[in-house]
Amino acid sequence: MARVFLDHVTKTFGNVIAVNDATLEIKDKEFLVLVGPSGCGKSTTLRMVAGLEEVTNGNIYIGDTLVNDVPPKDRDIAMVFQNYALYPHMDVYNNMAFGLKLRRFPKAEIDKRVKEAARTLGIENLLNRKPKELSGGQRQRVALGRAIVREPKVFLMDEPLSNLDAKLRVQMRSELSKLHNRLQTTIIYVTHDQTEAMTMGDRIVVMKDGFIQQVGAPLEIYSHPDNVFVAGFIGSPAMNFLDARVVKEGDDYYVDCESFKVKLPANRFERVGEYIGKEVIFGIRPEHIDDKELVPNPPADRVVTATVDVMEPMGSEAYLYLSNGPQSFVARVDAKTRATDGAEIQVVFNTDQAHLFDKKTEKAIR
Amino acid sequence: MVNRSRVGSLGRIALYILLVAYGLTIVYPLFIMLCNSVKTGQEIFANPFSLPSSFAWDNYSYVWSVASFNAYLKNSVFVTVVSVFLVLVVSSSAAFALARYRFTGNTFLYLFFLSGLMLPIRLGIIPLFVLMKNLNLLDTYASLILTYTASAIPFAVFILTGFFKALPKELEYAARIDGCNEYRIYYQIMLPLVRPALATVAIFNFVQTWNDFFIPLVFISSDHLKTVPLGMTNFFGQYQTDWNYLFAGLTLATLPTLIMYLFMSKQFIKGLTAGAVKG
Repeated sequence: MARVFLDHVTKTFGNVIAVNDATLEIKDKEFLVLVGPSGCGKSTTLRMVAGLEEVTNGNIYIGDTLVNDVPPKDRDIAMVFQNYALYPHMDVYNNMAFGLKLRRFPKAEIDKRVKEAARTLGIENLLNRKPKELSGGQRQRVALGRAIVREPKVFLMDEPLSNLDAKLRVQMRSELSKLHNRLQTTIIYVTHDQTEAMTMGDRIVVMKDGFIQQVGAPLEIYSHPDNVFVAGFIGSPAMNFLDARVVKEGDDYYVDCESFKVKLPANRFERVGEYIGKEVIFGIRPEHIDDKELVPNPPADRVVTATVDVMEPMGSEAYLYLSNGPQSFVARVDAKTRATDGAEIQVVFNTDQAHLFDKKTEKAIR
Repeated sequence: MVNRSRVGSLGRIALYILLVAYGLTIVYPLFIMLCNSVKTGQEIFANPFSLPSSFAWDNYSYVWSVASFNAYLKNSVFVTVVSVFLVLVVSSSAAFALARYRFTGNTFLYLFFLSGLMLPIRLGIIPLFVLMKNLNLLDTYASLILTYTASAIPFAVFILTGFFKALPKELEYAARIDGCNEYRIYYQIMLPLVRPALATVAIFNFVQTWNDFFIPLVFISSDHLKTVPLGMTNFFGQYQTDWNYLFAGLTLATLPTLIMYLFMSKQFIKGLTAGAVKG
């Protein structure tokens, strides 16, 4: 199969830079997810790999071939689109067989591949139907089938699950992962949904405004975000960001959030010394703020008193929207919590998992 | 709730009455034409609006063979079919390019096509006549076909460009990845999807071309090249008009249009209403 390599790739539309100097290697058989808010350049990147957009600057390799000037049909790729883009006037069978027919595969081979793909995707009984007679989920499967029968080197998927309802999306997510395991091909997957990125990708590329922000395995990005944007984009509910100052008392470092302060762990932030007295952004995920009553041995130097503005029970857990002085933040705690709207409670900041960011550059302080 | 539905059903009855009345105004003249086509000349003058007392079928055979209606019909069919076909081919490829490709002058070209909508072709009949004369095309099929095709292109491009623009870009992408070249994207993917629009354009032009009297009147002088509307004038004499033959001829002339509508009305309505409602 094949690796894909983007070498300093830039794409501009008039004065707008859609993708800015992106260098990225997608390994053979890797499931790589491009994630970011809309307009961040992820779809453009994918379309450049597909050959549907020309590269303004830089080179794209599929396998060892430079493909800048290779038309899409000769790149040995298949693509799945958000709106499926099935040919409305052809039945399911012909939708899947079309690409093979154009490549003059023998009839028996086409038949074999289409039926096999249909069996894999559980759409054998739909082969004679037209796309408009199918549900969203079925269309999605046909679109996948159309890609699978081609047996391409690289699959490109442009938000393929975005048009499905929530339940089906979760189901298709795991099916796509299974499919990747079985097919053992390179997949480049574009989404704006960080959950999809976290659950499906071998590696994630976070993009914003045409720039690649961070590349890494899902958990690596989750626990070591490089900057404020990545930290806030990955994870749900989003990370809390509090304006703070670093202070030193004795040998210990604290973050001072004006109306309260919490102690930082000794070895987590090597460069924290440089920021004494300076303003920083203190980032902590909701799951790392807990109700003191639910923590066995709460360390006293990390306890904060806060007012519960809203308590959202989610069943297995609860979201607490808290405030203390000018600061407000969200905590994600066990459903056992006895916090109620308007109550005053004590929470523990698990600063072992917290992050500090430079106020100016928004880069992580480590 | 109760009130509203009562108003609704009253409104509906009023609507049906209106529609039936309108339908009658369309159907009744056709019915009179049909009745009179099987009357003798004297009977038409005696009772123009009555049902025929006997069926004079020889009106038809006279019109068909003696008045060489069969030749006129052949001419009309040939000219109409070829013009409509040419309009569809030329306009759909122009519209495809205008709608799907970005190139300099795209908008200008589109507006240039549209500007043709503002000029009735009849205004240009004298220059057209001179042009045809210089090209030695007077009194040929070509003079008719070229004029009809050219005059129909603006409307066809207007309708079809809108339809092509409405098709999702991803379909084109998918086809390109599947291995289509531009030509195949046009005729195997996009063209089948604008079929309602093609039907609209086809019917619209078919009727206009079929019924047109003016252009053949100016360009055609040989009797054997006359189209049906022009041929009909043979029945208007200086001193007398053969109403019975005229009505028989008109009945025959109406048939192809009726058949066309019956076969394509579904597509035609789809074409007219598409885009009005999303989905």
